[in-house]
Amino acid sequence: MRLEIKALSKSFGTNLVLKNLNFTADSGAALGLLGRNGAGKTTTIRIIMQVFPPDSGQVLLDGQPLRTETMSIGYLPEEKGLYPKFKIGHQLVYLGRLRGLSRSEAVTAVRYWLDRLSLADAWDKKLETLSKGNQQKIQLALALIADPRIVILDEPFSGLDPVNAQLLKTIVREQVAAGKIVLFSSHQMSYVEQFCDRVALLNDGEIVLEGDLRAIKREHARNRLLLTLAGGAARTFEQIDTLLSRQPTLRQHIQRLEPDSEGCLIHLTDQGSRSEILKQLSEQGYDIEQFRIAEPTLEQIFVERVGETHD
Amino acid sequence: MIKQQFFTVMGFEFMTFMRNKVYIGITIFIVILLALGLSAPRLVDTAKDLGFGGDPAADDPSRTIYVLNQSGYEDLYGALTAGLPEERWSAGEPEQREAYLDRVAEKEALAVLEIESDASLVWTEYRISNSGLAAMASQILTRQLQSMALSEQGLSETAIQQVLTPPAMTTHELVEEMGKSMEQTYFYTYLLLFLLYMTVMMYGQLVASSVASEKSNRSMEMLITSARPLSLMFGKVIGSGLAGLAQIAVFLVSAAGFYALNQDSWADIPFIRSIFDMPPHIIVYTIFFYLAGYFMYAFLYGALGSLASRIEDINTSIMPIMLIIMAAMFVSIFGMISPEAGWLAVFSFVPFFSPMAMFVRIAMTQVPGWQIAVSIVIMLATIWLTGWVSSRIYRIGVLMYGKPPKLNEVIRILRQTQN
Repeated sequence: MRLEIKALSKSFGTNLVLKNLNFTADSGAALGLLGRNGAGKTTTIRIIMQVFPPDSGQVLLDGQPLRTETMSIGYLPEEKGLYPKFKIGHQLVYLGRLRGLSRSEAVTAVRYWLDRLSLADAWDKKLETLSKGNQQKIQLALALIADPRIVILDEPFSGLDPVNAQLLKTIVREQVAAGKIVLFSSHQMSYVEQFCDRVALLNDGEIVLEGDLRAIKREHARNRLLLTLAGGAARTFEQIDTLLSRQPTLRQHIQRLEPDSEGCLIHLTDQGSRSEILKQLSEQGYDIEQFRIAEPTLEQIFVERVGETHD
Repeated sequence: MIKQQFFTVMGFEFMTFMRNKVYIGITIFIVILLALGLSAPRLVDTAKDLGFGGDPAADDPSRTIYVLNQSGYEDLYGALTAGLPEERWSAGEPEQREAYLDRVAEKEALAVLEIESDASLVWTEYRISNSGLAAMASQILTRQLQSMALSEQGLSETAIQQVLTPPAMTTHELVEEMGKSMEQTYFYTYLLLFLLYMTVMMYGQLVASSVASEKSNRSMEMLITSARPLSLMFGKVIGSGLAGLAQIAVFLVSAAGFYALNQDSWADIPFIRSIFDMPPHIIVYTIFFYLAGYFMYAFLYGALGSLASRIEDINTSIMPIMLIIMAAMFVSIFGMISPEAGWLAVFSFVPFFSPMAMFVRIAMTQVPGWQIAVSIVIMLATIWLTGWVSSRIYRIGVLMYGKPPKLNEVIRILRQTQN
């Protein structure tokens, strides 16, 4: 299956929230939907779930317009919410039935998921009596009870302890492996890097970056070098800095230097200058322990791509 | 799918009431009140049989009434004790007047009745109670004085009786011929009107606060992505309406039941009898106008509830509807004084007023069939319109957080979604 978001635009009043948005998500690979607060993620998700229509554009599933009446979507919203005073089993069955399950199907599914999430005894408890992390797990159970083919998880890790986070990771991987389309939205980039093969980065209602995560990282890595000299990471930055002040010809290849825990991060002006720098270093007799292309973290890419347009 | 969603929401909302301890508690409480109230005469009789209560005045010193007779007519005291034998009369000494008054002030005695030499009467009581004792005493004394005066004129006992017996007056209403006596209809119309008012107002408010709480605890986030807004709103309004209907049915059935059990005890009290002798079609109209009134308002309550982000905002949001309901109630109550009035007839067609106004007219007067039909058609059209407008407001309202929008903003948003 392939979910295609095509040329979505949406405005509320005079506020243009989505501007010609395009991205695709395939089954069997999670897509990280990223963006700063207010970038338009929730609006996009709501349009996919047909809470309201877009002003223009389409949401296609395998080339056909997506119909939520026939295609169930599991959703874990960023703003968590259920009835705090109702019994958990009761309200999960209710919401399962709203998504088209029969009563007995809903009961079976709810039992399965409560069991799976180690909350089997929560059926008769009121939601408000559960801890925040367990409430979050209830919310996850709700997203998955109707066995949806499209799963949208918005900040699913918030409030989870490491053990529960591990459980959630396992479940998300299973969903991906089961051939579901998984949209994953989070501000915690480390989680996105662990799950998502593809990312779509939203900024101000536009996609500023979309594609295979590894390819994107490689793309952003070309101009970054990590260098460690003998004598330790701490001294590397200092040594390189001194070298640059003596060698103005080398200086023109380098945008800036950045201290790093492993040594010194060198931002190049063009990738061709890598060999030039290596040559200069060995000519000068530096003892090189490590010289490699530094792949940026997703977080660094995020800040680089989104931070600049805002500030 | 949408149909299943609607019925699922409706069932859930209805069952939420059935599981709500407050709802169940209030229902049981009112049924108990009805049971006690309607069994009151029988309970009092039983208590008397068991030896409780008995005749209170006779052996209760604080019920003593001192009579200071300075008129010179000794017969007056006898007339009082003969006329009101249950009371604890005591012939007092005029010199002790202050002491008696003190006792009354201390609530050790009930009253002091002074009969002055010129036969004028003074009744002193700690607090004039509603029992009409003073008036009855005055009546007995007046009659005794008149009878003594006539006797002095030489009239015979039988002649005096004739002169002093007032002519009997029976009242007769012409509308009674049509089965719509004011006297008979007033009480039950009033009670049922009040029931209409309370239930429409209460269940409407419950719909509004339920929507607002779904927004404030963010369960709306899940609901709106699981079901169509139309199913959500109509399911909630209709489910809550059914819970209201169930409650009204319980009240009416238990009132009728407890009355039937105690029917004999109420035989002497015409106004209670008039309530339960109401024609059965009035019950049908009560239920119909409850439903009409409820739906007319409840959709708007739901829409306004969706505009509030927090429960605290509800009161300001729903103020306009509350005022309309109250206005409709006042119009109908005033209408009950003159149910034939032209202005009440006008209100019985005006949307939002008609369920209560038309109910008063039907209960208390003869309304031509075509007027009832026209009024009902207008009501149904109004319900359709409020349902339509409300579902549009609801769809947008449930996703809006922050300050509730002003009326003109709501209209602007509605216009936009039209296009």
